[in-house]
Amino acid sequence: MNKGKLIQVVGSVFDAKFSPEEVPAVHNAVEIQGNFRGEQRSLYGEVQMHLGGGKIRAIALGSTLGLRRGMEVIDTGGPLTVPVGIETLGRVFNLFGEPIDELGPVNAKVRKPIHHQPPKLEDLSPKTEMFETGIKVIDLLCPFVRGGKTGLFGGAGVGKTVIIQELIARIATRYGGYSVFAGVGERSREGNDLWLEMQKTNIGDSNDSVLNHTCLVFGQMNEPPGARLRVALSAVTMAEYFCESGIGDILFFIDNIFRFSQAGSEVSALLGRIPSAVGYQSTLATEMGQLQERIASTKSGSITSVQAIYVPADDLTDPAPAATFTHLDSFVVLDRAITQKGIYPAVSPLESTSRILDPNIVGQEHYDVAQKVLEYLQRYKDLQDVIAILGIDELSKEDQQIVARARRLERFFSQPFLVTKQFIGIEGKYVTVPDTVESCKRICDGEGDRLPEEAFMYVGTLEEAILKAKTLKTA
Amino acid sequence: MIGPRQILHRRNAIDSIRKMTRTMEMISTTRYKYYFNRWIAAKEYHDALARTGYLLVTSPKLHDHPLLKENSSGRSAIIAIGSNRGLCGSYNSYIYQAMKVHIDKAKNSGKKLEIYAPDRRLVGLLNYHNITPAKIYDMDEMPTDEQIDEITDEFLDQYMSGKLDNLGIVYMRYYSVGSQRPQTLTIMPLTELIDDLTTRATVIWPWTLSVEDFYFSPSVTEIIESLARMIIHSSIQSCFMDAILSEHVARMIAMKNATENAEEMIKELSAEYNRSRQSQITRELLDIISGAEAIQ
Repeated sequence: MNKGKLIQVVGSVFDAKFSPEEVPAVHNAVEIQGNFRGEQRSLYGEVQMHLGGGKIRAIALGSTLGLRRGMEVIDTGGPLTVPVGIETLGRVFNLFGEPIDELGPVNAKVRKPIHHQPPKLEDLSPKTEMFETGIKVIDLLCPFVRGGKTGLFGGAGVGKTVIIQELIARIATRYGGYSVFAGVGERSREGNDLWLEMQKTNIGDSNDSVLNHTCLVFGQMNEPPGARLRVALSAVTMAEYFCESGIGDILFFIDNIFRFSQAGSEVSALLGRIPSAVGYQSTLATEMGQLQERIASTKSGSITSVQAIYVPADDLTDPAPAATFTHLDSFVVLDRAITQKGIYPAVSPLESTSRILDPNIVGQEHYDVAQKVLEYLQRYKDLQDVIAILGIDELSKEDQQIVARARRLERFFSQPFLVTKQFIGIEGKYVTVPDTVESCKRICDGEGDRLPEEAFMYVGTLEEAILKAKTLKTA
Repeated sequence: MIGPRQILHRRNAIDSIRKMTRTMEMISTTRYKYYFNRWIAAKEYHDALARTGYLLVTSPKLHDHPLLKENSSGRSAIIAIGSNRGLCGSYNSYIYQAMKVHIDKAKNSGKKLEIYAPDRRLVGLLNYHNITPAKIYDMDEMPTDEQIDEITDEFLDQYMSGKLDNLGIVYMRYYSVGSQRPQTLTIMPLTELIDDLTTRATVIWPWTLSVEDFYFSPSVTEIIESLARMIIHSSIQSCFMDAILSEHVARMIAMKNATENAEEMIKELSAEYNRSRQSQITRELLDIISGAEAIQ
C-alpha cells in the first residue's frame, strides 16, 4: 500500500509527502486513519495538486479537527466511489455513499467513481417535450423541459426550497420513475423533514411511498467545504447510473447548486489559486461545467433536473449564478419585490423564461397567450414610475385597462401549494396547462376586469376566481 | 440588480418630471388667481339677472310663451365641459360619471340624448366609451362671447321651435378652493334654470317684491326673449368659468402631489445610487487587494 506523511494542514486543505515515484494521481482519494483528539476515525481527502518532489495538496472531505502533522496518509488507488443502482433507493447517503439513515448497510452490487467524463455529444438525446408542473406561472411562462435542466434563482428567503419541495410533492408523487435528491450546503433540518415527508406520502393511489423511489444524498451546511464541494458529484454519479444502465428516467433535484460554487471558493484560495472576480475561484466556470455537463439526457434514459440557485444580494450578474445560467433550459427567477406583495410562488414573470417557450413546442395558442401576458406585464412595469408620480388617473383609458389586467394577472399567478397547506390553510391547487392558458387568455381579454383584485389571490382557474369574488361580495 | 449608472439616469429622468410638475403647479396657481378675480366680479351680475328672470317668469301674462312651455319632442342635449388639458387628477372621470347618469336615464326612458362638448380631454374619454358627441366645439380655455352667443342661439332656436326638451350643462361646480363637485345645471326649460339659479344665489333675495310691483316697458312678453338670451348666455359663461377654476384647483393639487412623490422617489433613488456606487467601489478594491495578495 502506498503511504505518505502529512506535512501541512491549512484549514480544510492539507499537504502530504509521498515517495516521488508513487505520487497518488489527481482526484485520487487519500485516507488518514488515526487518533483524532482521542477519537479513532479516518478522514478522506481528494488530491487536487502535485506540488513536486512527491508532495501533494488535497482537500479534506471531512472535519480536520484533531489532524496533526506526521500522520500517515494512505493512497486508496482511485477516486472516491459511491454505491449505485436500485439498492440505493429509499436510502439516505453522505458523499462517501455511506448510509446515514441508520437502516443498516447498503448491499449495492456496483460502486462508481464520482469523477467521470460527461456523455459524448453524439449520445445526447435531442428530444424536446414539455413537462407539466401544475404551477400556473411556471407552466405558462417558463415551461420545464422533459429531460432538461431548470434553475430556480432567488435571493435569501424568497422561497426556493419551498418550490423544490413542492415540485417533489407534485412531480414525484405522480411520476412512476425514480428520483435523486441532493442536499448541498443547505439547512440540515430540511433533509430530515424531507425524509419524513417522503415516508408518509404515497405515489398516486398505490401503497408505495415516495421514499422507496427516491435516493437522497446530503452534505449540508454542517459539513466542511470539501464535503459540500463533492456531494453534488456523488449525487450526480448515482443519478447518472440509473440513466446509463437503462433503469429509467430520473428526476434529479439539487438544493442548492450555489453552495457547490461557494464551497469551491472556500477551498480555492487555500489551494493557492488566485481569486477572480468578486473573490470567486478562477476555475468557477470549469467546475460548474464539469458538474452540469454530466446532468444530461442520453439515448438510454433522461435526467430531468431542477436546481435551486441562491443569488447573493439579489444580484443575478454575480459570477456564481451567471456561470450556472448558460447550462439551463428553463430559468425560474424568484423576485423579492413579489414576495413583498404577498404573492407566492414569487416567480418574476418578466425575468423567467424557457428555451421551449416556442410555438413549435408548446403550441401557438400557449405561445400567443404567454406573449400577451408578458406584454401587459411589461407595459405595467414601464408605467409604474408614471403611476408613482402622477397617479393612475393621468393614464389614458387604454393604459388604465392594461394596468388593471396586469395587476390581476400578477395576482392570478399566486397559487396555493400542496406543501404549504399546513401554513396557509388552503388546499394545494394543481392546474393543467390547457386550463392555465385558457384562464390567462380570458383575463387578457378582459373577462376578469369586473372582479376585485383580491379574488385572484390563491385560486386555481378563473372559474375559482369568479366564485371567490362572489364569496367576497357576500362577506 | 441595476448599476449605479442606470439609477443615475432614472433619477435624472424623475428630476425632469419634477421640474415639469412644479412648473405646471405654478402656472395653475397664477391662472387660478386670474380667473378667481373674474369669477368674483361676475357673480353679482349673474345674481341680478337671475332675480329679474325670476320676477318675469312669475308673470301670469307669459303662460303661453314658447320659452316657458315644456316641450315633448323626446330629444334632449347636454353640454359636457371636461378639462382643457391633462394632468388634473380624476377631473374628467368625475365629469364622465355625472354624464353617465344622464346617458343611462335617457336610455331607460327611451329618449334621445345628444352630447355637445368642447374639443378637450373629455372627447378622448368619450371615444373610449364609444360615445360620439353630436358636435365638438373648437374653443380656448374660456370661450369668447361670440362663441357663447352661438351656442345660446342654436339651442334657444331649437327649444322655441319645439325640437328640444331639455338642455343641461355637466361641469365641475366651484364652491371654494377646498370644494368642487360635478354637477348638472339645467339651462332649458328656462323655468328650471331660474329655479336653480335663485336657490343657489348668493345675495339676499327681495322676497317681498313681486311682479306686480314693477312697471315693464316694453312689455314683459317683449322683454322675455332677450332677457332669456342674457340669462342663458351668462349661465353658460359661469359654467365654463366654474369649470376652469375647478380645473386649475384640481391641477394645483395633482401637481403638488406629483412633485412630492417625485421628490420622495429622488430621495430613495439617491440612497440606492450611493449604496450601489459604494458597493461597486468596495468590490473593485477587494478584487485588487486580494489579487495583489495572491500573487505575492
